[in-house]
Amino acid sequence: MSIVQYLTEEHRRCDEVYAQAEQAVLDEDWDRANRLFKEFKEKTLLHFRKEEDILFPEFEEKTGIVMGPTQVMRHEHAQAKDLLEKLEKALETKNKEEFLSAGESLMILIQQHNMKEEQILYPMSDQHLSSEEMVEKMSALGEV
Amino acid sequence: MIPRGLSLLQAPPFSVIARFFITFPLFGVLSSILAFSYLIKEPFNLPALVHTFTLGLMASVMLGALFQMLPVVAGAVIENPLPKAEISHLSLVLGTLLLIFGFLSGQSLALWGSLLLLAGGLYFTAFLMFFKLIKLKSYTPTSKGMKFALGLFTVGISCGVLMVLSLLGTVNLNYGFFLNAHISFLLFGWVCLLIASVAFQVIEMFFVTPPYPKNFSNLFPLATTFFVLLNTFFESFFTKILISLLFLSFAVLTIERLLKRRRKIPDPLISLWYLGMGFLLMAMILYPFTDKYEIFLLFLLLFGNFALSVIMAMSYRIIPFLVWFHLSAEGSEAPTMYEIIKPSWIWFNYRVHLIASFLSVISFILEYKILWLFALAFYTFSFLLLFTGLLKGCLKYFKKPHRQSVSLQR
Ligand SMILES: [Fe+2]
Ligand SMILES: [Fe+2]
Repeated sequence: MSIVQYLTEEHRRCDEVYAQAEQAVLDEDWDRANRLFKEFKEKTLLHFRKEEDILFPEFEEKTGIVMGPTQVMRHEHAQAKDLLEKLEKALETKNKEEFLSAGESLMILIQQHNMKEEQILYPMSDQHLSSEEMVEKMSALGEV
Repeated sequence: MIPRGLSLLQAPPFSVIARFFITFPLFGVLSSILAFSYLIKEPFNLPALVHTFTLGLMASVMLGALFQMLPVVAGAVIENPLPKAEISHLSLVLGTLLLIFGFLSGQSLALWGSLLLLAGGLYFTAFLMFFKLIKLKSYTPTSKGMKFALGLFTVGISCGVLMVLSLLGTVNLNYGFFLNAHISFLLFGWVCLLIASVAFQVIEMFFVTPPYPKNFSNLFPLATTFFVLLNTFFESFFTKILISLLFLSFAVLTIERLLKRRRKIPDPLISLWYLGMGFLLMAMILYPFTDKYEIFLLFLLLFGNFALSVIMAMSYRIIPFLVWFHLSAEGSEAPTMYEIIKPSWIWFNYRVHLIASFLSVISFILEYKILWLFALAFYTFSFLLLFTGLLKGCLKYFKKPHRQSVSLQR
């Protein structure tokens, strides 16, 4: 399996869970919202870890590009993590407006981030790295 | 440790985009005022009205959005964008004002001035972006579409330049041929193609929908270019049908994506997209029959409402997102998107726009002057709401203290 395929599927699974969590918040079904959001957060953070701990270092080593796209990606992960905290707080206080508002930023941030990865970074990785080996290493961290 | 502000390496400073988004609604107000003046005092000067809208509003917002999207979405970085955006924006705004004055007064000095400013500014911006795009190694349907759209844009502008020159009596040309080319290249090759190319990416991104069919989005830029060329050199009912079918299928596919979106939260921007696609459908059904002047005018009105609805949807998302993005990247406490522009504000603006757009179509068909007055009043109100909303959003960014080194780099 290619890196593009493997990680793109993870993006889609995260989107799916987020859409469900958002719906639960909209319905003010807080138990379901909490459960789904927790699942979304875990999946997203695991996905970030696969990239930051395995894919990006290998990418930097093989291509020699250190201060380029991977740094931008890491920074956007940090921005996303801040928003995840905000969302969690909104859930704790059952603040629907705040959840949806921070969620809007998170969604756009993540979607444009994912597109850059899917269209530029992952294809470059497939070109320069051994895809099989990478996918194997990333799978060892768990499934999203 | 990840230094904060790094992602700004790719995104241009906020002011680059903000300047375009603050002035474009004002040209909307100006076009309502012009239309209003025609109601009380003939004659009706179509070019002045149309260009207030197409240059002051549409071209401005589209070029502004490209300054943001080229680096972030297409991966084509424009170095040192601040002065470039300044040149592009100022020449567009001043050139448009002069052109309107020139059309209304017939003064050749104003027309010459506008020609210099507009041609200079638009060629400069279009070529700058076009040459960044042709250097890309790989293309998505979006970046390919942008490249084609900018290419067709320069051809369309050139037809416009030639027509103004013929108005000034410096060249002799077949006016009808160039007018048709000017319209086909700019409305379809530029506006429709650019909106579609952007939609290929942002519809999926903003609303989490299934993607457009790959073949469709991949072939779209080429198909548009081919049909526009056919419609220019072999203009007939048949070539118009081809153009209609192409954009009708885009509208239908977009509506289908939106219906299948996974995020189901109520969102005024979805409603704006539906409305825009509805107007595009109506406009494109009429397009093959635009030989008749009355139908041509109705087509323009529907097309304008299509572009305006989509532009509103885009700006009400882009501005809050960018304000949040830049503030959070600079490490300051960033307000969330709903705090930057309240959804209730956008809903209200949507409803006013909805009333304005339907009233205008009804007034056109019924030819009641009094209805037109109401329609224009609603348009003016809608543009003022848009202006205030976007300005307030932008000010949330500019009022915060900034670390200059970060926000001004590149
Ligand atoms: Fe990532
Ligand atoms: Fe990713």
